[in-house]
Amino acid sequence: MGPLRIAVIGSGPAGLYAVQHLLDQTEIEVAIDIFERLPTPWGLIRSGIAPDHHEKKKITDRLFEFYLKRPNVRFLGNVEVGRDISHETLARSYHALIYAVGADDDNALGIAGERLPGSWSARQFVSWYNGHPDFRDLQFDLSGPRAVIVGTGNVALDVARILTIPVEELARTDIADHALEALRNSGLKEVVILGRRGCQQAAFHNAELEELLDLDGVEVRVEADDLIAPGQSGGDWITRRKLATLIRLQTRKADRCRKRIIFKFHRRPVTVLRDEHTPGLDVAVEDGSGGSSIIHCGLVLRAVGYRGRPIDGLPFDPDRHLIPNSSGRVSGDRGTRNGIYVTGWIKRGPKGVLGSNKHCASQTVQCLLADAREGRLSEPVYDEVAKLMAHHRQIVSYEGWRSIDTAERVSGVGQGRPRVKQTRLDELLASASSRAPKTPSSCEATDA
Amino acid sequence: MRRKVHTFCRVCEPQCGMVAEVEDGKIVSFTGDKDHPVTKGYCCSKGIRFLDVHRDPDRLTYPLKRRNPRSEDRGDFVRISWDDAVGEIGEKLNDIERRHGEGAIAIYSGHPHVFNSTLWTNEPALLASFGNGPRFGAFTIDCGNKFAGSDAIYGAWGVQPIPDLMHTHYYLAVGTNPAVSHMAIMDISDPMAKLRAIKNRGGKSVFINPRLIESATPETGEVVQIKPDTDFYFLAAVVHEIIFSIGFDRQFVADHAKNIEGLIDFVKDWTPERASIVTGISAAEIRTIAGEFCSAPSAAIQVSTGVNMGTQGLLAFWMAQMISLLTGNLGRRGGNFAPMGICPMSQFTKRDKGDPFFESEFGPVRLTVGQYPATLMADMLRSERNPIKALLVVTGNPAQAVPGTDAMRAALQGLELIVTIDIYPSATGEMADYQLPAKDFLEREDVKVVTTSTQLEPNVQYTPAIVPAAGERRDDWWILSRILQAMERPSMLDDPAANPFAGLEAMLEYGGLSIEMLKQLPLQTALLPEPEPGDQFRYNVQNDDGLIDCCPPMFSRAYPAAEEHWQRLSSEPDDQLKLITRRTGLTVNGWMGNLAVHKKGVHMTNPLWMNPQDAEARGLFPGNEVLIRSDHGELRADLVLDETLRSGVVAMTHGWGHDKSHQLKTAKRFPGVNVNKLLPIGPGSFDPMSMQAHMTGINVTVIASRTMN
Repeated sequence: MGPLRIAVIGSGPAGLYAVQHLLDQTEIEVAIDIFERLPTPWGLIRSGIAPDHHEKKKITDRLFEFYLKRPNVRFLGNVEVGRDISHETLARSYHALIYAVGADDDNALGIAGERLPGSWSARQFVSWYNGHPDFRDLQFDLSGPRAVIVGTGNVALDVARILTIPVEELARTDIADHALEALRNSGLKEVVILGRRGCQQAAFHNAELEELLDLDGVEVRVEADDLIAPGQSGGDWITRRKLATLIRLQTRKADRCRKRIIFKFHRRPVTVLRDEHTPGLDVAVEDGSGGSSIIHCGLVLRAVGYRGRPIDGLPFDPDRHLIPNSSGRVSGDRGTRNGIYVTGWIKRGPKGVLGSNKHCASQTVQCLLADAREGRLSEPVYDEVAKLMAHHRQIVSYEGWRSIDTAERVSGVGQGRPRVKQTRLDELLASASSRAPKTPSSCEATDA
Repeated sequence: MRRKVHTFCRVCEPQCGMVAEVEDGKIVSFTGDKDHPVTKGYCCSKGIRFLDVHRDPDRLTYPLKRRNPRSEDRGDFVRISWDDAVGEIGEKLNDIERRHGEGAIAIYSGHPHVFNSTLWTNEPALLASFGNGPRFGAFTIDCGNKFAGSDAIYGAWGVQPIPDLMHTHYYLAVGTNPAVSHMAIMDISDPMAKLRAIKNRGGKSVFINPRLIESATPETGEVVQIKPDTDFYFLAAVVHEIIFSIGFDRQFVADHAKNIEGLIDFVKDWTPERASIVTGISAAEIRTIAGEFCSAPSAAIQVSTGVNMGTQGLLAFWMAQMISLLTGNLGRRGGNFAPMGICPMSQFTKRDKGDPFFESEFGPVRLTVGQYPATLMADMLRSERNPIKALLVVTGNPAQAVPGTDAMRAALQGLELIVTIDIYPSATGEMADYQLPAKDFLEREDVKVVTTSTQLEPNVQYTPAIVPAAGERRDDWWILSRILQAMERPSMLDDPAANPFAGLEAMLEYGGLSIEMLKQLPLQTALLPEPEPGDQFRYNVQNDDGLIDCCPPMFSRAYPAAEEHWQRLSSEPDDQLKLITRRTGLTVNGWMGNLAVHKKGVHMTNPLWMNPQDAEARGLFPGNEVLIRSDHGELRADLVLDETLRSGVVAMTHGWGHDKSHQLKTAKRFPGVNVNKLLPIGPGSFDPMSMQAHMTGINVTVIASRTMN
């Protein structure tokens, strides 16, 4: 009997933690294929984490990269399940499938005008500045003096920070070139962050909020009825720390104030309007006591949560926007689907930090191994993947990714940046197929 | 029913108190013992993970005999009875001796024997019965300089003045990273708590290290980033500054030491300015440190593994002793002193009379703690003039642990008989004719007493075996005795009343204790009185005149090398890369190499760590496979960036390269590469004074490797 053949769909943290747990155990021999829609791995580590959070991305160098190097792991980049190979075919080619596809969609505000030109989801904006090939050509109008962000989570703060941080600082990060250029020419002076609830209930984490204290030349104003001295709040220490930071932000004086971030709590957007005769958008906002006001801006970004998308051939919970499952085993109307698993956001919904995926994946992998042990997994009936590899226009292997990675890092060297991301699909595929990545001549490879 | 057993860890020096819970004859948990009066529940992952070693299905459980020739990479082992195993081994050893003489049986002892009390105390007598063949071991791999140094300076190799971290106001830590290693030749639990306490009482620690180490925190002190293998020049410059600028108490020195003029004469050329050229530390900074050391209410110094493993470890150790002496910190509370321990170790480790050096086939050598230089082992095993035909390995793994892996394997190939006594089927075991299964420490009775002379909070503890040994695992002393019996030689098994604990009882008796008394005490533990710093002078100087030797004449052998090394370093190009060794918190050398729990991310392999600037200058990036070349060999490894390294310094970890450990399934799956392939062996590969191997500060080049797999 050969090894247990497992396909992991998605190479973000959810998928790679699943790979880690599969590699950790010795009881069952495994052969893992990782399917990735893009030519590049890492999911939201590459396209979600803010470019100025370089430290957070190092987990790929210290952890995930080593899983892709394992002899029993294959990376199959530029292969989209549902487009290049169907779920059904995949299911018959492996003992088990683990979907780790994340949450590709976002929550709507449910208000009139939110789809007007100039009103976007923060996810689109984040993917754009991080150089995701599907989003690189979006045109964000950054010429107006004001942007409105709806929502107070960490994504809202990421976006506010990227919009206000000095461009010279961004120029030392791996932000996409097109975004850097657009931000360099931006006329933006003010970012308004709208929170439906009070500041004590805001969704952002303290660490992310505290980063605003270090923003050079940015003044922060906090408009909140419930901004009181931490000692009087009666809240837990997390809330008290949040209040203390907001007060520090409020009282902090920025030298040479270039830009401003204004938190407006207890403010709910009710409509987004566009007037044919003036550029920009008007956001109509209600406060808690029924009063209303209009905020004129050039850009609206809704940051009220990601949500999962259905996958052809798999059940979907339309209320929770995830694949229904029991501890990671996919379960639908027809009961549990043997050999089909989920992990990460598509399993539990879009919440938690990067590390939350580790525990989540452990639960899924334990189920999978138990099913293997107890003979609940069906033998693969054919090796469609070999056929796919023979006919697919261009599968990006691990070596292909190494070529892309090296090419990006080489480009970064001269600019003092960790890498210059390649953002066009054709460019990425060309790099992947150039077997000898360009490196400076000083390190000419020898094969003694 | 669950029962709780108080015991102690035997992975490294602190031997932290542990508590095991046993249910249905199996150990179900193993953690730090909160009730222990000294270690108070502190322990590290290595101790906790020893339970995984205990449960490892890949362990040796029965005596095994090899059926196929050694030329085949993978051994074909079959289970054999103890009687047959020792019978055959005894017969073959006697035959080898008959044909090739008394020196034909060599012995290698590994590091773990120090923590195996019935082995450690009985080993000298037992091994003596195996003839007069050469002994090798791990002492000359990582600490030979300290033993040879004390031997000459204090007249006893066992005198190891340790820093009094419980009281000091200034701790100068050279080549040690207590947060990760938990210190060596010094037994202290939770060292970081002790370092934080120094800061809390108004003092500080200064770390001399090529890396911004984990031990340096805002609560302890800062690192002065030195270039690798230049510690001697730094320390000599501190002595220079003390002698020629700051001044010292001549009366104090005269009362306790001799040959100060020799020291002054030696040190006069080693100025801070000269040191600054090779160390990368400015003369001003060296002077500042010397001044701080002298003006602190008390100051302690320690040189450790990072220094030991360089080319000038003995001279550096000497300078450290002199800094302590000249500043009046030797034998003083808060300074350095060698605790007397439960029994006067210094008297038992007294230097033999006469010149320790003799001419060998491979040039002048000496024995350090009875051992030949480990890096001469491959040469000596292949000698035609002094044929060695058999090797007995007691808890060691020379095929993997000693530099020059390929030469060692070739030498082992040529032997007629290899016998290993171990808890694991190691890479050496894979090459052996017989692998004999030893008990692990959870299966073994022990007394923690051999290290009381390096403890600041001396305590002795008895532990019963927590569970009976699995299969046919036996005590190491028993195994050696059975082989001797089969050779028809005296052994500990001749007298049915012979007690393997007799040596330990004798040590305990000095402290008015016995194993029986320990068993009656809570946690089977006795606390000894706080050590008295003045013992340093009262008991610990074993030179006939009772004086510390500030300039042992035999050290002059090392003077030319110190000058040559300085010349070589000062003319090296600025971008010369130096390879140092880096220990991780997960393992001690090869220990725990077979535990799957550690094989995550970067720890699935043995990468090359490099400063990002050096990588950028060479066009190298994380994820690249690189080719590392030294004058002695080459390796391929994955590159990982590490901004904590000084620019110009690259690091790898010892204890990897499990590709030949065919019985260790996890280790074999994650083999990593063996850094020993980059290290020198043979004549010239060790310090001529102490026989300590050159293990760190190795010149290497690093380039991209063409193969991308």
